[in-house]
Amino acid sequence: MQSAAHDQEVENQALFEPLRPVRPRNPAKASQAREAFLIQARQLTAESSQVAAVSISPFTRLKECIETLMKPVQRRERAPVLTTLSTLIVIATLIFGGAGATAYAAGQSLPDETLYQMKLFGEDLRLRFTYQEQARLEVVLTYANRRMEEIANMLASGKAAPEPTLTRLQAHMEYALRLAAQMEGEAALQQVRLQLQHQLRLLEEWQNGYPEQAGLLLRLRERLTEQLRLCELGLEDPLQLQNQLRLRQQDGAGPNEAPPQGNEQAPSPGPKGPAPDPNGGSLGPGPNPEPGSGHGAGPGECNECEPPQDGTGTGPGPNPDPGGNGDGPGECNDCQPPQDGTGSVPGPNPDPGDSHPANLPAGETHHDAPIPEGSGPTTGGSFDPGK
Amino acid sequence: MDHAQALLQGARRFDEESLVEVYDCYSAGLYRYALRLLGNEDLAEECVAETFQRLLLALKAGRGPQRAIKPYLFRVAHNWMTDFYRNKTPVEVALSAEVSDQGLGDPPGKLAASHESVRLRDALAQLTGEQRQVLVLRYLEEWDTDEIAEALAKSPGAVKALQHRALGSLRRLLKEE
Repeated sequence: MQSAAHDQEVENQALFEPLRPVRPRNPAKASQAREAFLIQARQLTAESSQVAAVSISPFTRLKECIETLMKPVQRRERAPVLTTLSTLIVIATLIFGGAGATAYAAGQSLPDETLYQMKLFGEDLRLRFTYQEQARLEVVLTYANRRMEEIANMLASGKAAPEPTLTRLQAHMEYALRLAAQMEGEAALQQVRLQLQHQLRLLEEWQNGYPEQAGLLLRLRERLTEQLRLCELGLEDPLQLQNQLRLRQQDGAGPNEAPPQGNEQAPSPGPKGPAPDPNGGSLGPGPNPEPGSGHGAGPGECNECEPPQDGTGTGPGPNPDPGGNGDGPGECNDCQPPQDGTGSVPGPNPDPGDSHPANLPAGETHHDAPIPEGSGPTTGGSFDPGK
Repeated sequence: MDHAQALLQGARRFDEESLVEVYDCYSAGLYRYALRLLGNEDLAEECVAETFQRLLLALKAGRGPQRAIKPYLFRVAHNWMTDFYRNKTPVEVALSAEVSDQGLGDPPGKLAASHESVRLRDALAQLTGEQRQVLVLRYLEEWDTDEIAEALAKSPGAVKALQHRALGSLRRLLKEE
Protein backbone atom coordinates (compact mmCIF):
# COMPACT_ATOMS: atom_id res chain seq x y z
CA MET A 1 0.00 0.00 0.00
CA GLN A 2 2.78 2.39 0.95
CA SER A 3 4.72 1.36 -2.11
CA ALA A 4 1.68 2.04 -4.33
CA ALA A 5 1.27 5.50 -2.81
CA HIS A 6 4.97 6.15 -3.28
CA ASP A 7 4.82 5.03 -6.92
CA GLN A 8 1.83 7.26 -7.47
CA GLU A 9 3.70 10.20 -6.00
CA VAL A 10 6.70 9.52 -8.24
CA GLU A 11 4.35 9.42 -11.22
CA ASN A 12 2.80 12.73 -10.16
CA GLN A 13 6.21 14.33 -9.88
CA ALA A 14 7.14 13.06 -13.33
CA LEU A 15 4.04 14.68 -14.79
CA PHE A 16 5.51 18.10 -14.06
CA GLU A 17 8.99 17.40 -15.36
CA PRO A 18 8.58 19.50 -18.54
CA LEU A 19 8.09 22.63 -16.46
CA ARG A 20 10.78 21.91 -13.89
CA PRO A 21 13.79 23.40 -15.65
CA VAL A 22 13.63 27.15 -15.63
CA ARG A 23 15.95 29.54 -17.39
CA PRO A 24 17.95 31.48 -14.79
CA ARG A 25 16.81 35.02 -14.18
CA ASN A 26 18.58 37.73 -16.10
CA PRO A 27 20.95 39.22 -13.48
CA ALA A 28 20.74 42.74 -14.90
CA LYS A 29 16.93 42.71 -14.83
CA ALA A 30 16.92 41.18 -11.36
CA SER A 31 19.23 43.90 -10.11
CA GLN A 32 17.14 46.64 -11.72
CA ALA A 33 13.98 45.22 -10.17
CA ARG A 34 15.59 45.10 -6.73
CA GLU A 35 16.73 48.67 -7.08
CA ALA A 36 13.26 49.79 -8.16
CA PHE A 37 11.77 48.04 -5.13
CA LEU A 38 14.20 49.81 -2.79
CA ILE A 39 13.50 53.19 -4.34
CA GLN A 40 9.79 52.67 -3.95
CA ALA A 41 10.17 51.57 -0.33
CA ARG A 42 12.23 54.67 0.43
CA GLN A 43 9.71 56.90 -1.32
CA LEU A 44 6.87 55.44 0.71
CA THR A 45 8.87 55.85 3.91
CA ALA A 46 9.53 59.48 3.04
CA GLU A 47 5.84 60.05 2.31
CA SER A 48 4.90 58.56 5.68
CA SER A 49 7.26 60.95 7.46
CA GLN A 50 5.72 63.91 5.65
CA VAL A 51 2.17 62.87 6.47
CA ALA A 52 3.02 62.58 10.15
CA ALA A 53 3.98 66.23 10.18
CA VAL A 54 0.63 67.37 8.76
CA SER A 55 -2.09 68.74 11.07
CA ILE A 56 -4.50 66.44 12.79
CA SER A 57 -7.37 64.91 10.87
CA PRO A 58 -10.64 66.77 10.42
CA PHE A 59 -12.43 64.16 12.53
CA THR A 60 -10.06 64.67 15.46
CA ARG A 61 -10.53 68.42 15.20
CA LEU A 62 -14.32 68.07 15.29
CA LYS A 63 -14.21 65.61 18.16
CA GLU A 64 -12.03 67.94 20.19
CA CYS A 65 -14.39 70.80 19.40
CA ILE A 66 -17.41 68.83 20.64
CA GLU A 67 -15.52 67.75 23.76
CA THR A 68 -14.57 71.37 24.46
CA LEU A 69 -18.18 72.49 24.06
CA MET A 70 -19.37 69.74 26.35
CA LYS A 71 -16.93 70.43 29.18
CA PRO A 72 -19.06 72.93 31.14
CA VAL A 73 -22.07 70.64 30.76
CA GLN A 74 -20.13 67.60 31.85
CA ARG A 75 -19.33 69.17 35.20
CA ARG A 76 -23.00 69.63 36.04
CA GLU A 77 -24.89 67.07 34.01
CA ARG A 78 -24.61 63.34 33.77
CA ALA A 79 -24.43 61.02 30.79
CA PRO A 80 -28.06 61.00 29.55
CA VAL A 81 -28.16 64.75 28.71
CA LEU A 82 -24.67 64.69 27.35
CA THR A 83 -25.55 61.71 25.18
CA THR A 84 -28.77 63.34 23.92
CA LEU A 85 -27.05 66.63 23.17
CA SER A 86 -24.10 65.07 21.43
CA THR A 87 -26.45 62.83 19.47
CA LEU A 88 -28.44 65.87 18.36
CA ILE A 89 -25.23 67.61 17.33
CA VAL A 90 -24.19 64.57 15.32
CA ILE A 91 -27.56 64.36 13.57
CA ALA A 92 -27.62 68.09 12.81
CA THR A 93 -24.07 67.85 11.52
CA LEU A 94 -24.95 64.91 9.38
CA ILE A 95 -28.00 66.59 7.87
CA PHE A 96 -26.73 70.11 7.43
CA GLY A 97 -23.00 69.70 7.34
CA GLY A 98 -21.03 69.87 4.09
CA ALA A 99 -18.60 67.41 2.62
CA GLY A 100 -15.04 67.08 3.86
CA ALA A 101 -14.50 67.17 7.60
CA THR A 102 -18.11 66.59 8.59
CA ALA A 103 -18.50 63.66 6.23
CA TYR A 104 -15.40 61.96 7.57
CA ALA A 105 -16.42 62.66 11.15
CA ALA A 106 -19.75 60.93 10.57
CA GLY A 107 -17.88 58.03 8.99
CA GLN A 108 -16.60 56.99 12.41
CA SER A 109 -19.90 55.30 13.27
CA LEU A 110 -19.64 51.65 12.23
CA PRO A 111 -22.38 49.28 11.03
CA ASP A 112 -22.47 47.43 14.33
CA GLU A 113 -22.86 50.59 16.43
CA THR A 114 -25.98 52.26 17.73
CA LEU A 115 -25.65 55.53 15.85
CA TYR A 116 -25.19 53.87 12.51
CA GLN A 117 -28.85 53.84 11.47
CA MET A 118 -29.07 57.50 12.36
CA LYS A 119 -26.08 58.12 10.21
CA LEU A 120 -27.74 56.41 7.25
CA PHE A 121 -30.95 58.30 7.91
CA GLY A 122 -28.99 61.55 7.92
CA GLU A 123 -27.32 60.61 4.65
CA ASP A 124 -30.65 59.94 2.95
CA LEU A 125 -32.06 63.20 4.21
CA ARG A 126 -29.07 65.13 3.04
CA LEU A 127 -29.24 63.66 -0.43
CA ARG A 128 -32.95 64.33 -0.58
CA PHE A 129 -32.27 68.02 -0.05
CA THR A 130 -29.46 68.20 -2.59
CA TYR A 131 -30.85 69.14 -5.98
CA GLN A 132 -28.02 70.07 -8.25
CA GLU A 133 -26.67 67.02 -10.11
CA GLN A 134 -22.99 67.61 -9.57
CA ALA A 135 -23.59 68.17 -5.87
CA ARG A 136 -25.62 64.96 -5.68
CA LEU A 137 -22.84 63.09 -7.37
CA GLU A 138 -20.30 64.47 -4.89
CA VAL A 139 -22.51 63.47 -1.98
CA VAL A 140 -23.06 59.94 -3.23
CA LEU A 141 -19.37 59.43 -3.90
CA THR A 142 -18.66 60.70 -0.40
CA TYR A 143 -21.06 58.11 0.96
CA ALA A 144 -19.31 55.43 -1.06
CA ASN A 145 -16.03 56.51 0.52
CA ARG A 146 -17.63 56.21 3.92
CA ARG A 147 -18.75 52.66 3.17
CA MET A 148 -15.19 51.79 2.19
CA GLU A 149 -13.88 53.27 5.43
CA GLU A 150 -16.46 51.38 7.44
CA ILE A 151 -15.49 48.13 5.77
CA ALA A 152 -11.80 48.85 6.32
CA ASN A 153 -12.39 49.55 10.00
CA MET A 154 -14.46 46.42 10.47
CA LEU A 155 -11.85 44.26 8.79
CA ALA A 156 -9.03 45.85 10.78
CA SER A 157 -10.93 45.10 13.98
CA GLY A 158 -11.12 41.45 13.05
CA LYS A 159 -14.83 41.64 12.26
CA ALA A 160 -16.56 40.40 9.16
CA ALA A 161 -17.33 42.88 6.41
CA PRO A 162 -21.08 43.30 6.82
CA GLU A 163 -22.93 42.32 3.69
CA PRO A 164 -25.50 45.16 3.90
CA THR A 165 -22.62 47.62 3.86
CA LEU A 166 -21.12 45.97 0.79
CA THR A 167 -24.54 46.10 -0.85
CA ARG A 168 -24.91 49.74 0.04
CA LEU A 169 -21.55 50.54 -1.44
CA GLN A 170 -22.51 48.93 -4.69
CA ALA A 171 -25.81 50.84 -4.66
CA HIS A 172 -23.98 54.13 -4.14
CA MET A 173 -21.72 53.48 -7.12
CA GLU A 174 -24.63 52.33 -9.26
CA TYR A 175 -26.46 55.52 -8.41
CA ALA A 176 -23.37 57.60 -9.09
CA LEU A 177 -22.96 55.88 -12.45
CA ARG A 178 -26.54 56.60 -13.43
CA LEU A 179 -26.22 60.21 -12.33
CA ALA A 180 -22.99 60.64 -14.25
CA ALA A 181 -24.52 59.00 -17.32
CA GLN A 182 -27.12 61.70 -17.61
CA MET A 183 -24.80 64.61 -16.97
CA GLU A 184 -23.23 66.49 -19.82
CA GLY A 185 -19.57 66.02 -20.60
CA GLU A 186 -17.15 63.36 -19.46
CA ALA A 187 -16.02 64.83 -16.18
CA ALA A 188 -18.66 63.08 -14.08
CA LEU A 189 -18.01 59.66 -15.59
CA GLN A 190 -14.29 60.15 -15.16
CA GLN A 191 -14.86 61.00 -11.54
CA VAL A 192 -16.87 57.83 -11.05
CA ARG A 193 -14.27 55.82 -12.93
CA LEU A 194 -11.44 57.09 -10.73
CA GLN A 195 -13.35 56.18 -7.64
CA LEU A 196 -14.19 52.71 -8.91
CA GLN A 197 -10.56 52.09 -9.80
CA HIS A 198 -9.44 53.14 -6.35
CA GLN A 199 -12.08 50.95 -4.71
CA LEU A 200 -11.09 47.94 -6.77
CA ARG A 201 -7.45 48.36 -5.80
CA LEU A 202 -8.41 48.48 -2.14
CA LEU A 203 -10.71 45.50 -2.44
CA GLU A 204 -7.94 43.45 -3.95
CA GLU A 205 -5.66 44.37 -1.07
CA TRP A 206 -8.32 43.37 1.40
CA GLN A 207 -8.88 40.07 -0.37
CA ASN A 208 -5.20 39.31 -0.02
CA GLY A 209 -4.96 40.55 3.55
CA TYR A 210 -8.18 38.96 4.80
CA PRO A 211 -8.57 35.68 2.92
CA GLU A 212 -11.42 34.56 5.17
CA GLN A 213 -13.47 37.42 3.69
CA ALA A 214 -12.31 36.76 0.14
CA GLY A 215 -15.61 35.33 -1.08
CA LEU A 216 -17.74 38.33 -0.11
CA LEU A 217 -15.14 40.83 -1.23
CA LEU A 218 -14.71 39.03 -4.51
CA ARG A 219 -18.41 39.26 -5.32
CA LEU A 220 -18.36 42.98 -4.61
CA ARG A 221 -15.24 43.35 -6.68
CA GLU A 222 -16.91 41.63 -9.62
CA ARG A 223 -19.87 43.97 -9.44
CA LEU A 224 -17.74 47.07 -9.18
CA THR A 225 -15.68 45.80 -12.11
CA GLU A 226 -18.86 45.60 -14.13
CA GLN A 227 -19.71 49.16 -13.14
CA LEU A 228 -16.25 50.25 -14.18
CA ARG A 229 -16.75 48.58 -17.52
CA LEU A 230 -19.98 50.48 -17.98
CA CYS A 231 -18.26 53.69 -17.00
CA GLU A 232 -15.59 53.17 -19.61
CA LEU A 233 -18.28 52.30 -22.12
CA GLY A 234 -19.99 55.59 -21.32
CA LEU A 235 -16.78 57.50 -21.96
CA GLU A 236 -16.58 55.96 -25.42
CA ASP A 237 -20.26 55.83 -26.29
CA PRO A 238 -22.67 57.66 -23.97
CA LEU A 239 -25.76 56.41 -25.79
CA GLN A 240 -24.63 52.83 -25.44
CA LEU A 241 -24.22 53.36 -21.71
CA GLN A 242 -27.74 54.76 -21.49
CA ASN A 243 -29.07 51.66 -23.24
CA GLN A 244 -27.14 49.33 -20.98
CA LEU A 245 -28.33 51.10 -17.86
CA ARG A 246 -31.90 50.96 -19.10
CA LEU A 247 -31.56 47.22 -19.70
CA ARG A 248 -30.00 46.71 -16.31
CA GLN A 249 -32.87 48.49 -14.70
CA GLN A 250 -35.41 46.42 -16.57
CA ASP A 251 -33.57 43.23 -15.68
CA GLY A 252 -33.41 44.26 -12.05
CA ALA A 253 -29.62 44.37 -12.15
CA GLY A 254 -27.69 46.02 -9.36
CA PRO A 255 -28.39 45.41 -5.71
CA ASN A 256 -32.05 45.13 -4.82
CA GLU A 257 -33.30 47.86 -7.05
CA ALA A 258 -36.99 48.53 -6.76
CA PRO A 259 -38.82 48.71 -10.07
CA PRO A 260 -38.60 52.28 -11.31
CA GLN A 261 -41.59 54.35 -10.38
CA GLY A 262 -43.11 56.66 -12.88
CA ASN A 263 -40.99 57.00 -15.95
CA GLU A 264 -39.55 53.60 -16.74
CA GLN A 265 -37.22 54.84 -19.40
CA ALA A 266 -33.78 55.96 -18.53
CA PRO A 267 -33.34 59.67 -19.06
CA SER A 268 -32.04 60.49 -22.50
CA PRO A 269 -29.18 62.91 -22.81
CA GLY A 270 -30.42 66.43 -23.23
CA PRO A 271 -31.16 69.53 -21.23
CA LYS A 272 -31.10 68.96 -17.55
CA GLY A 273 -34.43 68.71 -15.86
CA PRO A 274 -35.37 68.62 -12.21
CA ALA A 275 -33.32 66.30 -10.03
CA PRO A 276 -34.67 62.78 -10.07
CA ASP A 277 -36.21 61.26 -6.97
CA PRO A 278 -33.42 59.41 -5.16
CA ASN A 279 -35.83 56.79 -3.87
CA GLY A 280 -37.37 55.84 -7.15
CA GLY A 281 -38.00 57.32 -10.54
CA SER A 282 -35.72 56.83 -13.40
CA LEU A 283 -32.63 56.31 -11.35
CA GLY A 284 -34.01 53.57 -9.19
CA PRO A 285 -33.83 53.49 -5.42
CA GLY A 286 -31.86 55.81 -3.21
CA PRO A 287 -28.35 55.04 -2.17
CA ASN A 288 -29.25 53.30 1.07
CA PRO A 289 -31.53 50.47 -0.05
CA GLU A 290 -32.36 47.78 2.43
CA PRO A 291 -30.82 44.53 1.41
CA GLY A 292 -33.58 42.47 -0.07
CA SER A 293 -33.94 38.87 -0.93
CA GLY A 294 -33.32 37.15 -4.14
CA HIS A 295 -32.06 33.93 -5.51
CA GLY A 296 -28.64 33.14 -6.56
CA ALA A 297 -25.47 31.76 -5.24
CA GLY A 298 -24.38 31.85 -1.66
CA PRO A 299 -21.12 30.67 -0.26
CA GLY A 300 -20.46 27.48 1.54
CA GLU A 301 -23.18 25.25 0.17
CA CYS A 302 -22.28 23.29 -2.86
CA ASN A 303 -23.67 20.27 -4.59
CA GLU A 304 -21.10 20.49 -7.34
CA CYS A 305 -18.20 18.53 -5.95
CA GLU A 306 -17.71 14.87 -5.35
CA PRO A 307 -15.92 13.55 -2.34
CA PRO A 308 -12.53 12.02 -3.05
CA GLN A 309 -12.39 8.27 -2.69
CA ASP A 310 -9.13 8.14 -0.81
CA GLY A 311 -10.36 9.52 2.48
CA THR A 312 -8.68 12.89 2.12
CA GLY A 313 -11.92 14.81 2.40
CA THR A 314 -12.43 17.63 4.83
CA GLY A 315 -15.62 16.66 6.54
CA PRO A 316 -18.13 13.89 7.05
CA GLY A 317 -20.24 12.92 4.07
CA PRO A 318 -23.66 11.36 4.23
CA ASN A 319 -22.26 7.87 4.67
CA PRO A 320 -18.74 8.35 5.82
CA ASP A 321 -16.42 5.43 5.51
CA PRO A 322 -15.59 4.37 9.07
CA GLY A 323 -12.01 4.24 7.95
CA GLY A 324 -11.89 7.89 6.99
CA ASN A 325 -13.79 11.01 6.07
CA GLY A 326 -14.93 12.44 2.84
CA ASP A 327 -16.64 15.53 1.56
CA GLY A 328 -20.34 15.03 1.27
CA PRO A 329 -22.61 17.10 -0.88
CA GLY A 330 -23.37 20.41 0.72
CA GLU A 331 -20.11 20.77 2.62
CA CYS A 332 -17.26 22.07 0.58
CA ASN A 333 -14.29 24.26 1.31
CA ASP A 334 -13.01 24.15 -2.22
CA CYS A 335 -15.51 25.69 -4.51
CA GLN A 336 -17.86 28.58 -4.70
CA PRO A 337 -21.23 28.25 -6.31
CA PRO A 338 -21.62 29.98 -9.66
CA GLN A 339 -22.40 33.68 -9.63
CA ASP A 340 -25.01 33.59 -12.36
CA GLY A 341 -27.85 32.40 -10.17
CA THR A 342 -27.64 28.83 -11.29
CA GLY A 343 -26.40 27.66 -7.93
CA SER A 344 -28.62 25.28 -6.05
CA VAL A 345 -28.90 27.27 -2.85
CA PRO A 346 -30.26 30.78 -2.41
CA GLY A 347 -27.78 33.25 -1.03
CA PRO A 348 -28.38 36.18 1.33
CA ASN A 349 -28.14 39.16 -1.02
CA PRO A 350 -27.25 37.94 -4.41
CA ASP A 351 -27.50 39.90 -7.60
CA PRO A 352 -29.82 38.11 -10.01
CA GLY A 353 -28.90 40.25 -12.95
CA ASP A 354 -25.17 39.77 -13.06
CA SER A 355 -23.74 38.44 -16.21
CA HIS A 356 -21.22 35.71 -15.87
CA PRO A 357 -18.45 34.59 -18.14
CA ALA A 358 -19.96 31.76 -20.08
CA ASN A 359 -16.92 29.56 -19.74
CA LEU A 360 -16.82 29.51 -15.96
CA PRO A 361 -17.64 25.97 -14.88
CA ALA A 362 -20.00 25.43 -11.99
CA GLY A 363 -18.54 26.17 -8.64
CA GLU A 364 -15.78 28.50 -9.79
CA THR A 365 -15.16 32.08 -8.78
CA HIS A 366 -13.21 34.79 -10.51
CA HIS A 367 -9.87 33.67 -9.19
CA ASP A 368 -10.81 30.01 -9.35
CA ALA A 369 -11.85 30.26 -12.93
CA PRO A 370 -9.87 28.59 -15.62
CA ILE A 371 -8.13 30.95 -17.95
CA PRO A 372 -10.34 31.53 -21.00
CA GLU A 373 -9.95 28.95 -23.69
CA GLY A 374 -7.04 29.42 -25.98
CA SER A 375 -5.53 32.17 -23.90
CA GLY A 376 -2.78 30.16 -22.26
CA PRO A 377 0.72 30.52 -23.60
CA THR A 378 1.01 28.70 -26.81
CA THR A 379 3.30 28.47 -29.75
CA GLY A 380 0.31 28.54 -32.04
CA GLY A 381 0.25 24.80 -32.62
CA SER A 382 -2.71 22.55 -33.02
CA PHE A 383 -3.64 22.36 -29.36
CA ASP A 384 -7.35 22.95 -28.91
CA PRO A 385 -8.38 23.35 -25.30
CA GLY A 386 -12.00 23.18 -26.31
CA LYS A 387 -11.82 19.47 -27.21
CA MET B 1 9.78 35.13 18.02
CA ASP B 2 11.20 33.20 15.06
CA HIS B 3 13.06 34.86 12.25
CA ALA B 4 10.14 34.87 9.80
CA GLN B 5 7.93 36.60 12.36
CA ALA B 6 10.65 39.11 13.19
CA LEU B 7 11.03 39.79 9.47
CA LEU B 8 7.30 40.35 9.12
CA GLN B 9 7.27 42.74 12.06
CA GLY B 10 10.21 44.62 10.62
CA ALA B 11 8.51 44.86 7.24
CA ARG B 12 5.34 46.15 8.85
CA ARG B 13 7.42 48.87 10.50
CA PHE B 14 8.81 49.64 7.07
CA ASP B 15 12.30 48.89 8.31
CA GLU B 16 14.47 49.03 5.19
CA GLU B 17 16.74 46.21 6.21
CA SER B 18 13.75 43.92 6.76
CA LEU B 19 12.17 44.91 3.46
CA VAL B 20 15.41 44.19 1.60
CA GLU B 21 15.67 40.83 3.26
CA VAL B 22 12.07 40.03 2.31
CA TYR B 23 12.81 40.91 -1.29
CA ASP B 24 16.02 38.92 -1.42
CA CYS B 25 14.41 35.97 0.26
CA TYR B 26 11.31 35.63 -1.87
CA SER B 27 11.78 37.35 -5.22
CA ALA B 28 13.69 34.49 -6.86
CA GLY B 29 11.05 31.93 -5.91
CA LEU B 30 8.28 34.24 -7.05
CA TYR B 31 9.99 34.82 -10.37
CA ARG B 32 10.40 31.09 -10.94
CA TYR B 33 6.74 30.50 -10.06
CA ALA B 34 5.58 33.25 -12.40
CA LEU B 35 7.85 32.15 -15.23
CA ARG B 36 6.62 28.57 -15.05
CA LEU B 37 3.03 29.70 -15.38
CA LEU B 38 3.44 32.63 -17.74
CA GLY B 39 6.22 31.24 -19.95
CA ASN B 40 7.57 34.73 -20.56
CA GLU B 41 10.49 36.37 -18.76
CA ASP B 42 9.30 39.93 -19.11
CA LEU B 43 5.86 39.06 -17.83
CA ALA B 44 7.39 37.16 -14.94
CA GLU B 45 9.48 40.22 -14.05
CA GLU B 46 6.38 42.38 -14.26
CA CYS B 47 4.48 39.98 -12.03
CA VAL B 48 7.23 40.05 -9.41
CA ALA B 49 7.51 43.83 -9.52
CA GLU B 50 3.78 44.27 -9.22
CA THR B 51 3.56 41.77 -6.36
CA PHE B 52 6.17 43.54 -4.30
CA GLN B 53 4.68 46.91 -5.10
CA ARG B 54 1.34 45.71 -3.78
CA LEU B 55 3.05 44.41 -0.69
CA LEU B 56 4.60 47.82 -0.03
CA LEU B 57 1.34 49.66 -0.59
CA ALA B 58 -0.54 47.27 1.66
CA LEU B 59 2.05 47.55 4.42
CA LYS B 60 2.00 51.30 4.16
CA ALA B 61 -1.76 51.30 4.58
CA GLY B 62 -1.46 49.14 7.67
CA ARG B 63 -2.72 46.07 5.81
CA GLY B 64 -0.84 43.26 4.11
CA PRO B 65 0.26 39.92 5.56
CA GLN B 66 -0.84 39.32 9.12
CA ARG B 67 0.85 36.00 9.85
CA ALA B 68 3.37 35.14 7.14
CA ILE B 69 4.84 36.93 4.15
CA LYS B 70 5.56 34.07 1.77
CA PRO B 71 1.98 32.75 1.33
CA TYR B 72 0.75 36.33 1.00
CA LEU B 73 3.22 37.09 -1.79
CA PHE B 74 2.34 33.98 -3.73
CA ARG B 75 -1.35 34.70 -3.32
CA VAL B 76 -0.91 38.19 -4.72
CA ALA B 77 1.18 36.85 -7.60
CA HIS B 78 -1.44 34.21 -8.33
CA ASN B 79 -4.18 36.85 -8.42
CA TRP B 80 -2.09 39.08 -10.67
CA MET B 81 -1.59 36.26 -13.15
CA THR B 82 -5.26 35.36 -13.13
CA ASP B 83 -6.19 38.99 -13.77
CA PHE B 84 -3.57 39.20 -16.49
CA TYR B 85 -5.13 36.36 -18.45
CA ARG B 86 -8.60 37.61 -17.84
CA ASN B 87 -7.79 41.07 -19.24
CA LYS B 88 -5.79 40.06 -22.27
CA THR B 89 -7.17 38.74 -25.54
CA PRO B 90 -6.02 35.27 -26.60
CA VAL B 91 -3.97 36.82 -29.42
CA GLU B 92 -2.14 39.16 -27.03
CA VAL B 93 -1.36 36.30 -24.70
CA ALA B 94 -0.13 34.02 -27.49
CA LEU B 95 2.13 36.76 -28.80
CA SER B 96 3.55 37.51 -25.39
CA ALA B 97 4.39 33.89 -24.56
CA GLU B 98 7.60 32.28 -25.58
CA VAL B 99 8.84 28.78 -25.18
CA SER B 100 11.23 28.49 -22.28
CA ASP B 101 14.63 27.42 -23.35
CA GLN B 102 15.50 24.31 -21.44
CA GLY B 103 19.13 24.45 -22.39
CA LEU B 104 19.14 21.26 -24.43
CA GLY B 105 21.85 20.91 -26.97
CA ASP B 106 20.11 19.37 -29.97
CA PRO B 107 17.38 21.30 -31.77
CA PRO B 108 14.95 18.31 -32.11
CA GLY B 109 15.32 17.53 -28.42
CA LYS B 110 14.83 21.17 -27.57
CA LEU B 111 11.73 21.34 -29.74
CA ALA B 112 10.21 18.22 -28.17
CA ALA B 113 10.85 19.47 -24.65
CA SER B 114 9.44 22.86 -25.57
CA HIS B 115 6.30 21.29 -26.94
CA GLU B 116 5.84 19.29 -23.75
CA SER B 117 6.19 22.34 -21.56
CA VAL B 118 3.71 24.29 -23.68
CA ARG B 119 1.28 21.40 -23.58
CA LEU B 120 1.54 21.13 -19.80
CA ARG B 121 1.27 24.88 -19.34
CA ASP B 122 -1.84 25.00 -21.53
CA ALA B 123 -3.41 22.16 -19.58
CA LEU B 124 -2.64 23.93 -16.30
CA ALA B 125 -4.23 27.07 -17.72
CA GLN B 126 -7.50 25.19 -18.08
CA LEU B 127 -7.70 24.27 -14.44
CA THR B 128 -9.28 26.56 -11.93
CA GLY B 129 -6.98 29.11 -10.32
CA GLU B 130 -6.79 27.26 -7.03
CA GLN B 131 -6.18 23.90 -8.67
CA ARG B 132 -3.38 25.36 -10.71
CA GLN B 133 -1.88 27.05 -7.71
CA VAL B 134 -1.92 23.95 -5.53
CA LEU B 135 -0.30 21.78 -8.19
CA VAL B 136 2.43 24.26 -9.04
CA LEU B 137 3.24 24.97 -5.41
CA ARG B 138 3.24 21.28 -4.56
CA TYR B 139 5.06 19.72 -7.50
CA LEU B 140 7.18 22.54 -8.87
CA GLU B 141 7.86 24.78 -5.90
CA GLU B 142 7.83 21.74 -3.57
CA TRP B 143 5.88 23.36 -0.78
CA ASP B 144 4.40 21.10 1.88
CA THR B 145 0.67 20.85 2.46
CA ASP B 146 0.66 23.18 5.46
CA GLU B 147 2.42 25.94 3.53
CA ILE B 148 0.01 25.59 0.63
CA ALA B 149 -2.92 25.65 3.05
CA GLU B 150 -1.64 28.95 4.42
CA ALA B 151 -1.30 30.42 0.93
CA LEU B 152 -4.76 29.35 -0.13
CA ALA B 153 -6.37 30.07 3.25
CA LYS B 154 -7.71 26.54 3.41
CA SER B 155 -7.34 23.60 5.74
CA PRO B 156 -4.66 21.00 4.93
CA GLY B 157 -7.42 18.47 4.29
CA ALA B 158 -9.09 20.75 1.80
CA VAL B 159 -5.75 21.27 0.07
CA LYS B 160 -5.26 17.51 -0.28
CA ALA B 161 -8.76 17.15 -1.71
CA LEU B 162 -8.12 20.00 -4.11
CA GLN B 163 -4.80 18.50 -5.12
CA HIS B 164 -6.41 15.14 -5.78
CA ARG B 165 -9.11 16.64 -7.98
CA ALA B 166 -6.64 18.89 -9.74
CA LEU B 167 -4.40 15.96 -10.64
CA GLY B 168 -7.38 14.06 -11.99
CA SER B 169 -8.43 17.00 -14.12
CA LEU B 170 -4.90 17.58 -15.36
CA ARG B 171 -4.42 13.97 -16.40
CA ARG B 172 -7.74 14.04 -18.19
CA LEU B 173 -6.78 17.19 -20.07
CA LEU B 174 -3.40 15.79 -21.06
CA LYS B 175 -5.01 12.57 -22.23
CA GLU B 176 -7.45 14.48 -24.39
CA GLU B 177 -4.53 15.95 -26.28
